[in-house]
Amino acid sequence: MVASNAIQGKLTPADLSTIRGANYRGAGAADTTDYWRHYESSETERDLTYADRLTLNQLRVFVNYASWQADKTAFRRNLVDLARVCNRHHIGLMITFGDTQTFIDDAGTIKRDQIRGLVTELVSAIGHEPALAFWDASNEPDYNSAGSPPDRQEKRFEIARLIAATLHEVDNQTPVTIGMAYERNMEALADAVDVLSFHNYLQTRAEISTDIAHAKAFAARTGKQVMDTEIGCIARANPYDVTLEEHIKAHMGWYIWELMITKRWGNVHGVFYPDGTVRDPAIPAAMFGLFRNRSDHVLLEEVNRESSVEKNISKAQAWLDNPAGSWDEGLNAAEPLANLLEAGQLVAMREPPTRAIELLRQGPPNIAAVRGLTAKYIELLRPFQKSSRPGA
Amino acid sequence: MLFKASSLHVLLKTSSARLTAAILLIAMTAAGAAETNSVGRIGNLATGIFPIVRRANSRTPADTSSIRGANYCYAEYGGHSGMWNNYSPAITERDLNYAQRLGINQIRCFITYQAYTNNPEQFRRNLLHLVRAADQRGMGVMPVVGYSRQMRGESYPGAEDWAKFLVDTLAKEPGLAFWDVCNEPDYPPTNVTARVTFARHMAGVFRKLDGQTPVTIGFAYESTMEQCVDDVDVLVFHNYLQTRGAIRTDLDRAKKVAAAAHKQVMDDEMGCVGRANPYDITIQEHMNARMGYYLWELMIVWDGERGWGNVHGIFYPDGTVRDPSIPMAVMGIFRNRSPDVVLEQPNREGRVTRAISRTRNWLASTNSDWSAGLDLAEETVNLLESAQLVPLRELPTRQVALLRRGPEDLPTLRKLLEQDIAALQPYER
Repeated sequence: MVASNAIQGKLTPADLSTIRGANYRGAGAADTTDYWRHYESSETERDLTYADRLTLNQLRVFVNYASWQADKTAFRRNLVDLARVCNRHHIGLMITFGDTQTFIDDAGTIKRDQIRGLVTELVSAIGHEPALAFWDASNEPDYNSAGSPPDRQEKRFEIARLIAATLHEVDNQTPVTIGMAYERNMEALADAVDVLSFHNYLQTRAEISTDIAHAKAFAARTGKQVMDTEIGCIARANPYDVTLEEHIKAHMGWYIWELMITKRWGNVHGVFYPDGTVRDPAIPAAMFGLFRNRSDHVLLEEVNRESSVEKNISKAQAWLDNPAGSWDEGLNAAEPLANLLEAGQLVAMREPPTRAIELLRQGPPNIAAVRGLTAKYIELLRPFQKSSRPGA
Repeated sequence: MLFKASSLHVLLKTSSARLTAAILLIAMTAAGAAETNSVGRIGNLATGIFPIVRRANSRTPADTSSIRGANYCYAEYGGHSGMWNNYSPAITERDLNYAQRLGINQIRCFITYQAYTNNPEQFRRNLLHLVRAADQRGMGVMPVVGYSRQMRGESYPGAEDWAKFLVDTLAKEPGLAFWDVCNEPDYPPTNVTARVTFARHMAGVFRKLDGQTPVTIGFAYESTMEQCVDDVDVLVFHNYLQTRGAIRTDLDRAKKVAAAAHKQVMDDEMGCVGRANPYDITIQEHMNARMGYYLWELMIVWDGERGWGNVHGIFYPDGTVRDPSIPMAVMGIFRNRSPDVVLEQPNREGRVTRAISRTRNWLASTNSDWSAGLDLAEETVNLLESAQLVPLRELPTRQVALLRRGPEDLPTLRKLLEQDIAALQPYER
């Protein structure tokens, strides 16, 4: 149990179901090595203020052998800095060993010396840092790309066990886990860890909840706590709000993938842009436990309740029909249309209409563009010209 | 020290809290933090934070720009009359817990004379419950006083007694933050003069009866607010404008008027789906301008026939929301509307292509399985929603959830799947 392993004054939670976590690397990083090579303390500080706004209490951050090798002094300094920034924000830190296939040489031999060297260095650098909450001995040893050698998984399981054992040897206080891609494989390496962890990017609520139930049942049998250290992906039919709701309902601690909209995964993952804005407010809302109503009791927006749709279409059409209509008049006619579409949730928000208007305002006059948008918004609003409210 | 004798004369005529505020102003002036204006009132022009009448330890904020407020009545009963006629401590506490989750620190609540006449003692208990429940959650309350038709008649019969009842009931409550003595006397635009005259009269009544709680009038328009700055302790206007430019101009003007009057100002109604006034946009403009606000309104209010719920509101009674962008904006989290965005690529790993292919096969089959079809539908709507590829007024994932709960209905499912793959197709590449 974590509680028995928890260190006085450390940010390891006694109850893993309280975890509200995120995977983290800087938004501009192309991969783990790139992140550590270009580590910026100020960027970490900024991004953790975003984590604070979501009241996150844990972060999961990858390291790899290459990032250590690239500049050992800088790597150590940056790792300590990350841990200390986390501590200032009262956020626990899970360090995850990534790219563990690089510990296998061309002949298929495991580079044990490299493993021991990296583990020893990490424990020496941050083993006593209060923020260090968990060691993740290997990220997804059970997920190997197509075309990998047939024994790749077996080898990576062995590496994961080796890293976990070495961590236990040199740091007997920080709980060790292995972040398995699949719950069923988590069961295979359960004996090597202090706490269980798995990933879940499943496509339906039933699959998600069944997977969580399996994980909890297995954890109960082993007497170890369990958490899900990767959830949420736009491209895997695994919406953040849906999966967060299922995890919260099941009292399963979670780490979303990932806090920032990054260079590597940003088009299918992430909450914050570097400036602190978001792509989809449903994601942070879900992290606060605020979910859309999916019951039979909803009240649909009636954007034309006070005839705003008719009035604004009429005004915009008048501008379209006037060859002498000015640029500003056009933008001022189009903006209410965009506002009605967005406020009434009548339009897809991948490319928000209000952003399109805002960008036009910032650029040089482009009458053709604003005419095109205005005509498009009018057509999108036309079905809502007539109110369906009772008595209307 | 800059100070005019005429202003001292005015101050000596005020009640004790107003005098305290005046003494504070004098001290600020001595410290060089304040200036006098042409009529001798004093305030901090640099920050725009002018001292405000307030009771010690009350929920009246010293700086109204810190207000993150919401208008409030129950979701279930169609409006304020329904709320007070069906008052429930459990509903109040449930809803204030929702407000607390968003960091809301003030609520504005209309009170009705009719509920008082129905049962004065019960009404008194209910008022106290509301204000104390809010206070326990760190929120102040601005009651908005409603009147009978008779009270608004010549010489305002009974209006002062009604005000006295309210002051006697609430004035010593720490949760009482402001008195709004009349909502929108300038709307609709008929008989405005008479209504504004009544509002100004009632402001005077409340200022006389309660010298420690700031009094305001919630004007519909900033332009009317300008005409009554001397009648109130803090200035209030409403803003449901249609463009960022119009919102900004209105806020800027209100701040200038307030600075000239050496009074604080706030907007206590904003945000409307049906007025081209999206919550996230207007909240962002108010925050940028450091203007305290009360959005209209906390709950999605609808009793089946009446209420503002189809154009206003954040929470359903069960704590779910209609549009997550609204609570997130309240919490200061906004969409990126800059040039630098990363668009979602739902087919990055080929899932869109595979989902479309499997859906087509299911649609082509003559004996398609209901359960398998629902799973396909859930997968496709998850892709559509999470990548923000479709409008969410009628939530696709909700439609699938409702289908799952109902009896087998293959025609509806087929139609939904056809719509889904049509919506996904442009993103197959």
